Amino acid sequence: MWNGTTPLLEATRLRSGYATGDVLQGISIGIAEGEIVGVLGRNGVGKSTLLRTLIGLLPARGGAITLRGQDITREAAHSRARRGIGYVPQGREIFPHMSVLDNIRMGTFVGTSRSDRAGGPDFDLIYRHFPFLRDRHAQRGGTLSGGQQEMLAIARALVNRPDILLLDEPSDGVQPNIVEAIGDAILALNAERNLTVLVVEQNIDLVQKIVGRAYVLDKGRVVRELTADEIKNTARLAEYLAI
Amino acid sequence: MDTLGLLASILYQFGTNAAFLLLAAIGLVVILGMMNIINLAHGELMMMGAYIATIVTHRGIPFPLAVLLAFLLVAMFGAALERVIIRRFYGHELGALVVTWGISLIMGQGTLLFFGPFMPSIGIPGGSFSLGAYSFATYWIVLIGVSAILIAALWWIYQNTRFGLMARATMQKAAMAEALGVNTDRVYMLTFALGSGLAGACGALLAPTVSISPLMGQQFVAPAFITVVVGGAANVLLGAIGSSLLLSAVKTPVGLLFGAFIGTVALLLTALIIIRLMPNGVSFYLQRFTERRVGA
Ligand SMILES: Nc1ncnc2c1ncn2[C@@H]1O[C@H](COP(=O)(O)OP(=O)(O)OP(=O)(O)O)[C@@H](O)[C@H]1O
Ligand SMILES: [Mg+2]
Repeated sequence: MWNGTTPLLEATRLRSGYATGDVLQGISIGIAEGEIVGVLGRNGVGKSTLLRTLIGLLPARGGAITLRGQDITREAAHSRARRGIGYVPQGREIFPHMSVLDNIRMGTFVGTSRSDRAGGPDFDLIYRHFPFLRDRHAQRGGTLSGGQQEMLAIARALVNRPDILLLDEPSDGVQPNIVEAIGDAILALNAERNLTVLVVEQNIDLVQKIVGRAYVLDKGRVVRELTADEIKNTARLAEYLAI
Repeated sequence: MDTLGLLASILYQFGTNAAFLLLAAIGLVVILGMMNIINLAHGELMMMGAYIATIVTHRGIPFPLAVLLAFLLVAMFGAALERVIIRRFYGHELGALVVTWGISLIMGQGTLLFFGPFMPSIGIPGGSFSLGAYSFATYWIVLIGVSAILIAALWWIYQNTRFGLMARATMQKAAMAEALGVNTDRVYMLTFALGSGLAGACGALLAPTVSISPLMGQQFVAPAFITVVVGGAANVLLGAIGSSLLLSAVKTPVGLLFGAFIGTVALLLTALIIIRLMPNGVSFYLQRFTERRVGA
């Protein structure tokens, strides 16, 4: 459960949506440094809308978002990214006509407005976890398989050492062995670098493998918080994923 | 000697035609290709550049400096246009088309009011020389070189600079670029300014070769759009190079044999056929070819 120290990223009574109406009906969540937190819930409950609002691609219609205690609710998405939020959207959104290397380079602006940033982009780190990216650096992003594109999108978000990673359904349309590899990479980065992650996921195996605690969403609200023990209980978890 | 002269003359005509198409199109290539805005004020931006260069050259400023000045002033004008008007029409292609048409009318009529219907043009810099029975203008040979340098520089900027990386990403997926820390608003402003400035510089470069009048921009619009459309969207710079060479390869021999008018008709027909047969433009095939070569 949420332990009450100052969260790295926090949303309070967040509301947001589209022309068709509000999707998020007042969501409050917090993620502490070094945590891997899950966001669960069935299709269409607003999981992606939550991440889009956190990164700033959708404006908040109510409530507040803070990063390290600083209010970023009204900030443009590019400013939030430059504060150190890495974002991997659902569907990956690789730049299809750019090379793999240029796609990774597009991650080098993340976190650049931090005062305490240590060093520049870490390509070696990326290649260590996803070695195929080095061999394919000249290939066009659009020609990679779904799983390779997912790894490229994660590498792009990670290359400039973000403070927090927002991951939207990394297993979606990805073959099982690559899901496994992605899970390993996230766990390793969390252990090595204390990487903080907020991950939307519906794949039970991946949730159980990486997530420490989780919020369950339904109809734009947080309806439950799951502890590590509840997540380990496969039958219960399956129930919550289908809420 | 005369076969050599003839060969040189054909090559010269070919280069001249291709350079004209490229110079007419280059600003449009940037704005249409990178922002998907059909800029109907393109011709008037070229006209503005031509006026700036003509006016300052008459005041004794060296011509190369006048071209640079045209680039800077028209780029600043473009940046202001984007800030105040164009940005309200992103995502509304028809709206952008209408509003840029309105801008072109205001610029044309405004110039007429301010400067009258004609302005004495500047003479073509540099002289001419002949090979056998054929004569060549030094300035057009310079223009062929300059257009090659301009497109190469543009290519280099888009492939190798931070701005180029951000601009390409913004063109492909603006929201994702924004979410990775790119100020896409600024990229759009700079892109529109760059496209405008290039139109202004090219207008200045072509100014000595045409008569200077408020409606002079119109003569560049059709060749510019044809060059861009034939080039296609897969890779706009590669497309502009490919299509200007291809169209010139048709226009030059036909023009030499049957006269300039039939040459232009042949160019239009070729454009129609290419658009019909290759809806993705020349660049789609050029890009596939170059990709096969890097072994992707
Ligand atoms: N661009 C949009 N315009 C209008 N409505 C949208 C848009 N995107 C999503 N929605 C709607 O908002 C609601 C929440 O969508 P969202 O994508 O956040 O769901 P999700 O929980 O991520 O679902 P999934 O598991 O399918 O990815 C859905 O009812 C969806 O139809
Ligand atoms: Mg979703």
